Amino acid sequence: MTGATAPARVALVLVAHAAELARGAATVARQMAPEVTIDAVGGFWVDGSEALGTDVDAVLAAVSRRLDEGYDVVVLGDLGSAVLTAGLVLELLEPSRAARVRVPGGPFVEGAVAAAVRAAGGSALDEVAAASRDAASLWGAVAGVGNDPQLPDGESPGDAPVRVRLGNTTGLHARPAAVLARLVAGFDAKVTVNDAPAESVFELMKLAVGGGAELEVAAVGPEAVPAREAVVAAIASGLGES
Amino acid sequence: METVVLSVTWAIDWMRRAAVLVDAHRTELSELDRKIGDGDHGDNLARGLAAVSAKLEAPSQPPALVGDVLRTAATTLMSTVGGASGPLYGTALLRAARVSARAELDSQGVVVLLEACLEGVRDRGGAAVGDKTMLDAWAPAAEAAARAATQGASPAQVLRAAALAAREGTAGTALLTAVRGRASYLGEASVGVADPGAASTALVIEAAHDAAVATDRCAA
Repeated sequence: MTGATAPARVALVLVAHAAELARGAATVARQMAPEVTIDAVGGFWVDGSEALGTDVDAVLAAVSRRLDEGYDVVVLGDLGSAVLTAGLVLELLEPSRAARVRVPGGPFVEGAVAAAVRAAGGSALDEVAAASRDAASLWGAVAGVGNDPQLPDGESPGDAPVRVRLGNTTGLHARPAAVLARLVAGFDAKVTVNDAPAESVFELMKLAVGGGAELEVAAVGPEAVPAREAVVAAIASGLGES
Repeated sequence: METVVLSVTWAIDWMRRAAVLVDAHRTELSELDRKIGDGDHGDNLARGLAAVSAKLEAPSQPPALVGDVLRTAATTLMSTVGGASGPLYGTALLRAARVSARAELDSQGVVVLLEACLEGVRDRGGAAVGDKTMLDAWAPAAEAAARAATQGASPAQVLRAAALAAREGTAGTALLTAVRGRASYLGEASVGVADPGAASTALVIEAAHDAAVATDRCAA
């Protein structure tokens, strides 16, 4: 062990959809923290050949082994279903053992490096977990070189309009239009439906939209995304009519 | 005459029929998944359910309780599916196993089983109804089952209500924008395609109903 730092008490288990990805992330993390115990669990074996996926048994085995050795364990996943697998592993462990495991989330590579560095310093379980979780905001999730086309203030590609089919047969007449107008009033956002302001029952009715028609929903403002999602869901469900 | 309880034999038959039904629809499921996910849902789940079927046909010890069958199914799916549906179905059936530690299930037992599946999927995936996930099939199924049981339906009738509701819920997912899983990377482009996890859930519940009907036929 190096100088004044305590030995690492926390081991990492890196779960990825491909063995190569898990191994690669572990290699990068070890370069920064060679003394930390890091397991790479990747891919999924079908009839002797590797498929993309994650293996609950393999993750459970790796976590159990490190717990047996006295480590606390932080599990990181590369994509959503790797985190689902880790969550299930938590459920399969005895509660007293599950209490020594964290699945904090975070960007896979940056999180693995940040957690490994923290673990190498002898930090406790929750600090190591926090290092992964905070890696995106602390490191800016790897800033790009800044040559993307500039978008107007407050907009991002995620603000693009969404097309949705009106989920009723009666169309956007007075009552559904009123439902929609009331809904958008609850958000700090400017929502349009086929370019008509959604807060105006009259403007919505002027669109003369029939049942099952496809509508384009756009939103700007601080709550643009939740407002748009709520409006899209409401339109899809028929605005209270079938 | 309709039987009032479902047995361990039903549970085994459920899993066998689920394997056959999902295998028959594997191309269709993978096609949905190819459009909005990673294209392997049908193959993954068919492989997993085939393994479940094989395991139940040659058990190390014969299952005494419905929950025993479901636990075997859960652990087998966890280690054979590989995709997100492995942990999701695994958790669903594991929770179902916990509440089904009985030799027989009545209508209320079937409702409790489906509600446990629903809770398992919700806890594991963290999705909400309307997020375009398998929850959009499990939630209406559990609700319809509870309603049917309250009205005095037999286990087979409860499962029929659940299967129909799951199928309707699946159709509804085509209207939704995905906000969970890999389909969410597509955002609005996911609209128009039903969720493959919901579609397979509808098949799995349909298989449970088919097995219950077969039980009735044997009893008649």
